[in-house]
Amino acid sequence: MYNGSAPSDVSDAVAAFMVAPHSGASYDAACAAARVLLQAARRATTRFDAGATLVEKALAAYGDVPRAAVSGATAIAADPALRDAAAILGAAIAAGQLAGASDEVLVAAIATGCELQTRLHRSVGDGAFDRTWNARSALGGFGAVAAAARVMRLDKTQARHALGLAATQAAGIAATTGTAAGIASGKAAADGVEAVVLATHGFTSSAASIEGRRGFAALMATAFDPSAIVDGLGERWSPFVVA
Amino acid sequence: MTAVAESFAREIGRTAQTPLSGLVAREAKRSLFNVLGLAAGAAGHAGVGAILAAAGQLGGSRRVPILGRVERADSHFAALAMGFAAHVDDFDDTHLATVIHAGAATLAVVAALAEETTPSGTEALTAFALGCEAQLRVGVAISPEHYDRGWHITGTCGVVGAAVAAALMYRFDDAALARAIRLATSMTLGHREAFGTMTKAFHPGKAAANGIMAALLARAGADAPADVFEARNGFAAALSTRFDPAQMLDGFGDRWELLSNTYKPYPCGIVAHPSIDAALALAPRAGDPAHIVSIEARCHPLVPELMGNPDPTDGLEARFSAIHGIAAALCDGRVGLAQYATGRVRRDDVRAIRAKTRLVADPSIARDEVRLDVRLTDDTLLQEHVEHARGSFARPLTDEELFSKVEMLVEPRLGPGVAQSLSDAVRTLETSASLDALVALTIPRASVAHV
Repeated sequence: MYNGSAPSDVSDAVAAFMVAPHSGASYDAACAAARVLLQAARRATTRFDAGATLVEKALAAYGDVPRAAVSGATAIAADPALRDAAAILGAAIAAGQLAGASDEVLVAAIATGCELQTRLHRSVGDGAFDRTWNARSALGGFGAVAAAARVMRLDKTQARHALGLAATQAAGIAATTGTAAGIASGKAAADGVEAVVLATHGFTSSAASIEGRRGFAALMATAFDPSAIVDGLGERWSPFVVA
Repeated sequence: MTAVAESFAREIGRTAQTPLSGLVAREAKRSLFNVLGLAAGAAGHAGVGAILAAAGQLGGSRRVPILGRVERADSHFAALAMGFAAHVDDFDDTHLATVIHAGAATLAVVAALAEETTPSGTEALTAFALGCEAQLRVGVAISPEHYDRGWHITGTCGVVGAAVAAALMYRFDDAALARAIRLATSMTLGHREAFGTMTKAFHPGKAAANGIMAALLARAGADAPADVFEARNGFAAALSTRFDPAQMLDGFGDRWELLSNTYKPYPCGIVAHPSIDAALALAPRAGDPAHIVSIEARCHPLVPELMGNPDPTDGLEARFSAIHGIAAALCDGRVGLAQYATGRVRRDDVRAIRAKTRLVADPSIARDEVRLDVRLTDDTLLQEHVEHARGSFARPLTDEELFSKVEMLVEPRLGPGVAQSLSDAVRTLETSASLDALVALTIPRASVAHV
């Protein structure tokens, strides 16, 4: 079990990463990958699968943006090539609707979300984490909140509160697979957008939501390597590869 | 062997078909009355404002009235707002064995779906009682390891209870109820890291909204695997090192965890209550707080762990400071919401007493017990031993105390006489055809300023 008593400022670094401007060749490569993802995601959301259709019907009384986040990400999750990034893509596109964001902004948001989610996954040791949790939803919420935070132009303090809301909502058990797991990615997408909007209205959350003594890593991971998150964060990017 | 979720749904469905016993109905109403007062009384909180502002950007049609507010929202944001308000003062019901505050999320579901599902008073009370009971049963099955590890059990188990309440409001059959429960197991939330921020109260609010989502998805036919609770990669294994499914199933409908619900006399974390009881009892003897030299509270080890903050800087932090509770009791001779206003928390007199107060963890002291020593400038040693805190299971809040509490909560916001009307509406709930009149009692008239 990770011992969270050692001081760390992982969440602070992540919040800064969520909102800081990024540049450089490594970042450009990540953005190129994100552009491919965005296009593929848009195609996926136009050919709605059974799960996404079910969501649209079930959540008919929801607002357009949250419903689109859940159903869009559910549709994206039905594509095996995109499924790992479904929550991020669903959140970015839905937040983009809300903010009227350009594709350039969406690409940057998706790149940021993918990078955070990938780093978090490494930090908790992919295999062990995935035996307990559905990583696409449980970590997807972090990717989603990072993407939505950039679309909605949060400041760093707001980003830290939104991150806290995402952390405390990290969910989805590994036992759940198939359509229900896709819907869990969809829910993570909607949770991310909601967390960001709440943060813009002054909602508060914990400062050390990732590494704190009772935070995400302490409760949900059996191993935790914070350096996998913070080392080279914003400098070295791992472009998301569409399978 | 039948999977746990299916058996659980069958027990709940069967129990929902029979009238609640007098004893269970009485405790359900006490829980409901208490949490209604909290939700309506705290509806002016800034966090509710933030949730409703978010609803303005993200919500669907504004159909659902919100307890204590003039605005309406869709059922998702209405549930989020009401579950938040019900818990934000840390003054709601507590099931001591699990530390679950079951009423907040459950009330939020019942109130958020009443407009759409038009339940009779009896149906609403049954949904409330079983929504509470379901989450308490799940909580007992994974306690104490689950909470001890750091999960906010009110969120994690609240989601399951909320799904049950929503399914009953929608009058699902057992199969749909089971689907809602299974889907809810992937919608848990609640890390204790968030304590001391608005996110703590977000937990029951979002648990309620998630429970409604699980029910809506279940109604449309979505489902999760049969063994979501007991699978090696399931709910229980993810959230605890202990799982005793018999605690969910055995004697369901006969033995009620809801009967062990307790109601807080003070608006702060419950482990501080024995200390506050002792300080209030001792305050008249101590006299002028300026004459206090030192204070030592010998208490259960959870008190310093959960509420050890020696110098809170605002009202929210103060709710997690047993030391503030003791100091406020000695300075003011009473401990209500006023003692947790940020302005009061920051004043010099109470800060000075906090600086003289020490918590000593003693494993031989029970959770609802404390031994308080106060030394005065003339070297007098005052001692107070509280064996069972007020509002504890051994010393429950009386109906009169509960009424006074709700009166104090709602009347500043809703005006005089509302507590009595609410009390009457809850008492006669089984004979009312709908919840409309009860909800209407909590909606502020335009002339009443938001507080």
